[in-house]
Amino acid sequence: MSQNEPTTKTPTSSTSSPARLADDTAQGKTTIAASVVQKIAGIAAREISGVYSMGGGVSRAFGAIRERIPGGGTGAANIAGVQVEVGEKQAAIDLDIVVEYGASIVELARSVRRNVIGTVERMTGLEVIEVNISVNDIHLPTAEDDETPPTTQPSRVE
Amino acid sequence: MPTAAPATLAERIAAAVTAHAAVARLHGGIFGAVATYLPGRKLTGVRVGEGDEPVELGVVLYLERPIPEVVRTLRREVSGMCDGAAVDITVADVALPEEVALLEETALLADTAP
Repeated sequence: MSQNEPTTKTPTSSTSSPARLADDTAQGKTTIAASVVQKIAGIAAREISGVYSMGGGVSRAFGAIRERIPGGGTGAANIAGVQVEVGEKQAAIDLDIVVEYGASIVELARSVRRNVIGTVERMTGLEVIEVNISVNDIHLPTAEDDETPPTTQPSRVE
Repeated sequence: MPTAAPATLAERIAAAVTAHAAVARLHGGIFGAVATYLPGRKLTGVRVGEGDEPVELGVVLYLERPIPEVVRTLRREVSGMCDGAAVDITVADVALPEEVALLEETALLADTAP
């Protein structure tokens, strides 16, 4: 028995598809490229202290390759670990992050989500419907990081 | 509908758009198709359509103020230059401060290199 259900059309937008702001149809369309949303989301996520880096092993390796391709974009470092889907008025964002040891992951994810949604909505005018965060790894302080001194605290005595 | 000759109009639009503080440079759009073919060169990022076609604009913006606000300003300005024609604007990329610094640095190095 064949069911002739109307196929629900999901917006099949990949990371390269444009987003369109539908607020100004009479005077012309505005298209925001997905890479714009990617960059803004990546920067907003990194702003939160406790996020050590972004991207899983694959996307970090892909970013390294991408940097070597002419025209691959210089901003590859900023968009590692950020996948976006953009529709006409909305955007969905997936983030892969590596957290610092000692950060509360739940609190951190909440802060990242809040900052990403706020920044992307303010900067692009797109409504962010979801931000999925996957914590791929945890960064432990090791000997190689000891070379960079920790944030200097002012001494209490003069 | 634009009345001036499309080629010179495109050049004037390009000049006006790049003069905006938030515009880093013009861009050929997602597929690189936004361009005007002039004698001897190609003007990437501006396309003045024939007749009722909209004016197309591809830009790379600095990430310093909200994109809708910048786009609205650009649209008003360009539409005024084209007798109120519709203006389709594509924000193809954003330029980050450190990227800009890096590009300028490499440009300087290329200039000073023997």
